[in-house]
Amino acid sequence: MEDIDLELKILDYLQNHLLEADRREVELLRETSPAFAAKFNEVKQVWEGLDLRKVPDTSPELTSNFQAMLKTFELEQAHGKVSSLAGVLGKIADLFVYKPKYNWAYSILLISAGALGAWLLLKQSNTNQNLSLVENDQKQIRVLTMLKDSAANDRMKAVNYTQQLHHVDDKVINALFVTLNTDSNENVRLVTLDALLQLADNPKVREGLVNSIIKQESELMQVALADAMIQLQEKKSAKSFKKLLENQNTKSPIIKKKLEQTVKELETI
Amino acid sequence: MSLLFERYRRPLFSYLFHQTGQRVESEDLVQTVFYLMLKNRRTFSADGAFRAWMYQIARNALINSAKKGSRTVYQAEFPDHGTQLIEHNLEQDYEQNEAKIQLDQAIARLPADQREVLILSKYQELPYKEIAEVLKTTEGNVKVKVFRAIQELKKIYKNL
Amino acid sequence: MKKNIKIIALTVLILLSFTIVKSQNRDLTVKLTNPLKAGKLNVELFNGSIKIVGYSGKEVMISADGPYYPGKGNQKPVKDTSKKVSDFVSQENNLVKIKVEQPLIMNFVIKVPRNFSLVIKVLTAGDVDVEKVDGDHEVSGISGNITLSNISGSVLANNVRGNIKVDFNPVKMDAPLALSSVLGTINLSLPANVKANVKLQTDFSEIHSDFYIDEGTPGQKSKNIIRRTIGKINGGGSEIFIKTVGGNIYLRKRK
Repeated sequence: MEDIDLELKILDYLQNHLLEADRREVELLRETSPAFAAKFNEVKQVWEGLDLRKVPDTSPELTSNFQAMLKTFELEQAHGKVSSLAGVLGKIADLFVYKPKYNWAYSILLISAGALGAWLLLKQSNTNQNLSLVENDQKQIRVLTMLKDSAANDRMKAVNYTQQLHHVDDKVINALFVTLNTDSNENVRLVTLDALLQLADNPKVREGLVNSIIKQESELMQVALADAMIQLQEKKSAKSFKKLLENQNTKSPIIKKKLEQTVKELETI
Repeated sequence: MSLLFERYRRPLFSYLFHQTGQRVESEDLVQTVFYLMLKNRRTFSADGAFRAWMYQIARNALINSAKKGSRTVYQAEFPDHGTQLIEHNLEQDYEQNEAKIQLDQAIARLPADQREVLILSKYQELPYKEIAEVLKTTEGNVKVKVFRAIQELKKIYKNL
Repeated sequence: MKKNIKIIALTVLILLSFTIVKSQNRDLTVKLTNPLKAGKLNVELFNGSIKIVGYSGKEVMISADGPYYPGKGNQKPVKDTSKKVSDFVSQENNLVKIKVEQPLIMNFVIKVPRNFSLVIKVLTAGDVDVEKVDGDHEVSGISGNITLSNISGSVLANNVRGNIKVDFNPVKMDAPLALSSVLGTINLSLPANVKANVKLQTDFSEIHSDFYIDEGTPGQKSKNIIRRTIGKINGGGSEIFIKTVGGNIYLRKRK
């Protein structure tokens, strides 16, 4: 028997694919041929070594997201073609007479409906485009749920994840601002600022960032916002920084210096 | 459909996770695959054929995703997934972590087709015939790839 | 005769000091509700140092020095002998909590199972030193130094006046790492083959890196007055975010 056939036979044995007679043949060979026994052990070592790689269980969000998607899909099937987004939302509103237990579940359905609506409106487009819309919305759903996680590193992952989205809904932007202003972990807030900066073309985002300045007690955040305002050349934020200096929220002289510098620069825009 | 989801959610996730090492991306791809299966659901009934069809869709979704430049490209260091693994392996020594890192690197170095066949055979437990169907090739071809993958991995243990 | 007296005196002294030392350090062993599952340690300390070391056992072993009341003016801190270590410690469902409120000062040396997640907050002064613990860690300090060595998992650490030093050997690659300090230096050591997306920022200080960071296409509009380096190491992977206002940033390769 060739090498490859022998080893494949050993693999079949290890995976319990062999019939009784063949199993016995392999076991006999193992006992009588040291060369075969050595080969057997080599293959076994590799095969069983692969067990070291473990896969985690899926998150509960996956199941709930799937169910949300299934519902909207069934909706589309049941009610036939719906040609307007408003129509789809209306039909969903009809179905949901009960009050949703958690806000996020409601968000999921709204966003799914939004995705479905957008998909229907773009009926003529090719499959890939539809798919990326659906994927984008699924990602947004994930971001929203992860932002409420009790573990700071999961919230951080959620924020990092927003940077992969090619379209960010208002719902996600609002959630990011809530995180920016109230998250208990400073590093999460810092990264959130960064993520929001990427979205600063949106005037609502700029406004939100300016409003965030006086809400920040942490010196690191104040400095980060100062840099952000200069990057955005947002003149009206100078007022907020002046207020910060007045309130004496800033303790370190280096921070004071930074904020004063910032106000000066902003006023010369 | 919900039944199918319950039945295939874990194996599908497992396949994607072994390929990408990314938990979040893998979950999103699971969603995508199920969405695609929903869309084209009129096509299949028999169980064996279904599974092969599902993995075909999964492969394509993976390839498309990689093309778009998201991070579902295979990572050389297949990650441990944090708390889940910690729960399973409380007894695990630091040394065993090192062995795992070596294994992950060896698998990362395998040519993509060998790695794929290995994953489908070892972790998804697909028979060679079905793997051939997924990859649209011959059973003989699949067997050769498995053999070659095993030869490569043998080297890890020779080096110890 | 004299020699014997000396020896006896010495022995007595040693014994005495031994008992004194022993009574200063109180020990407490905390069992987890479910020793087969990973656990978490939450420490909130008004003032004091913490040293945490991972080991192969399944219990949390706490050794404490204190608590002390701060002395008035130049006086030394005064010990509060009415309190026991267990007054500050609780465990529920694998979450071990230690809380020491103001104005007490208390120092801890804690052994935890190797796989454990730590959330540590020191509210005024005190160093935090963590060794060989794999998990999701959050550490927050004010003026002490934060040091984490030989660890993996994820780390979110922030400090005000103190330094941060992390020696990181990541086993999982999708865990974020964020370190920030207002005035302290930040030192991060990573394995040479790490794959990461890095964002390093400082307002007034410098950024040094042993790694080559691929910053992609240049010509990014930079009206900033801050210094920043954004790019990929070894093709990119997990996210690393480091920010200081007035402290240097060092990114080093682990030996």
